[in-house]
Amino acid sequence: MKSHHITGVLWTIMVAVVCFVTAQSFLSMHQTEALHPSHFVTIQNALSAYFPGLKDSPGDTDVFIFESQNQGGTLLILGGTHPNEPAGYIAAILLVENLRVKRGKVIIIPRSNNSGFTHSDPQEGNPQRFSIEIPGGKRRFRYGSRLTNPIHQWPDPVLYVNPAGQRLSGTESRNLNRCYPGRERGFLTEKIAYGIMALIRKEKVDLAVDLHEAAPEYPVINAIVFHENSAELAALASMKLQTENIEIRLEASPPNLRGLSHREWGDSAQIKALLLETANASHGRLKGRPTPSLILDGKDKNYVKAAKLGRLFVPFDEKGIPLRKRVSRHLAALRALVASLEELYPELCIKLANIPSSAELQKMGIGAFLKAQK
Amino acid sequence: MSLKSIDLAIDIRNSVTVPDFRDFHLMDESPRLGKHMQIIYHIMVFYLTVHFIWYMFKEKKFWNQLSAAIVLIMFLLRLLLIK
Repeated sequence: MKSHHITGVLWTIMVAVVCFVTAQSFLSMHQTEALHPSHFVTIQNALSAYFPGLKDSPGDTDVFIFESQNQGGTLLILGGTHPNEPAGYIAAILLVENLRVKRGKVIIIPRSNNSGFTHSDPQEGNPQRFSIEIPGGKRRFRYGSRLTNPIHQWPDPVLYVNPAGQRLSGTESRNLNRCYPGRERGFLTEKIAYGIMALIRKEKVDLAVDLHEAAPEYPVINAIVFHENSAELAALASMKLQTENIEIRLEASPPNLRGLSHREWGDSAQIKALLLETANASHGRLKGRPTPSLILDGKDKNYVKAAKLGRLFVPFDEKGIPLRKRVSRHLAALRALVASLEELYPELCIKLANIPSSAELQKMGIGAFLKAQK
Repeated sequence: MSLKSIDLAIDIRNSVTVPDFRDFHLMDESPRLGKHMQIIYHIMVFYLTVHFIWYMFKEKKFWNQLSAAIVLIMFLLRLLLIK
């Protein structure tokens, strides 16, 4: 055997080892983290139960239903539409693990775009995971991508015409929040949207809320984005939040921006539909090094400087905007929306219990309300 | 630009019929076309992977072999659809 053949064999072994180690890391992102639902969950289902086209696909996801004995309205809460917006899905997971419904019905989908949790945005350097301290240990959560994994949906069209007729750039075909009302035989992301629409119709949802986050430099931030049929509801909730010293903007959803969750839920299913946004520094373009602590603590000197220059749409100082604050905003907004729904439409009353208050979250942290990994 | 030419531009724009993209059925075909593209993509990546392995053994220079090995890692992960 010649010497270059020997080095060839050595390089082959090196390639095999590197591929094995790298593959383990990539494939670990495909493992779904276990959730520990509250014992008040009445039904745990899969989205494919509403749309069988999703069965055994990476788009299928858990649906948790809390149904009370007392008749009332039905609320749908979506987290993880964008898996790189952790306050949305952590708030949804916190509800799944704690909520009790005393009147009406609540449906929670904590990982709406399950495929987006299986990869990270290329060239962003984002951490794969972040950990939340819980009593006696840690819970790890994935920090995913805004878009469906291209392994599951590829290639992107050059021009994407979404099911509502809006023309968008090709990558948006993997953005769940642009694919409503979905297509039965469309792309995977469109099928997820179609499944959620099927759930809304079958469960006769009255109010649906999509939990998001956005960069501090993005104008629609710390906001309730409302479909025009939910303007009164959003306004009343905003006033309630102001009495709790939580400043929240009201943003009317543009009727010609189609394919977004709340837009199509309101238009196609004629339900009350809203989208909530908080400010996440780890999501922004001005951020420094993306680390798990940036996700959790939300501290970033670049954003402090940007705030001093008046470039941001939210106050931002050295204390940052930690995840616990972002999650507590979402939960406070949900409580305010449910209370407003009861005031405006008493027949749709929903009574929620066991939701941690903003003060409790600030004092005890998110981990105090998450269950230990079994 | 004079006011007259702006008026003319507006007239031209208004005279163009914008298709209703809700009737645009190409999107319904995209998922099926994607499956065909995936097969072509796999064939291309497989061909290049074999080519790099062949090159790694044929090449006599140490550093050129190393370069081929580094590129091969990415192609193998792509071939196995590991992302």
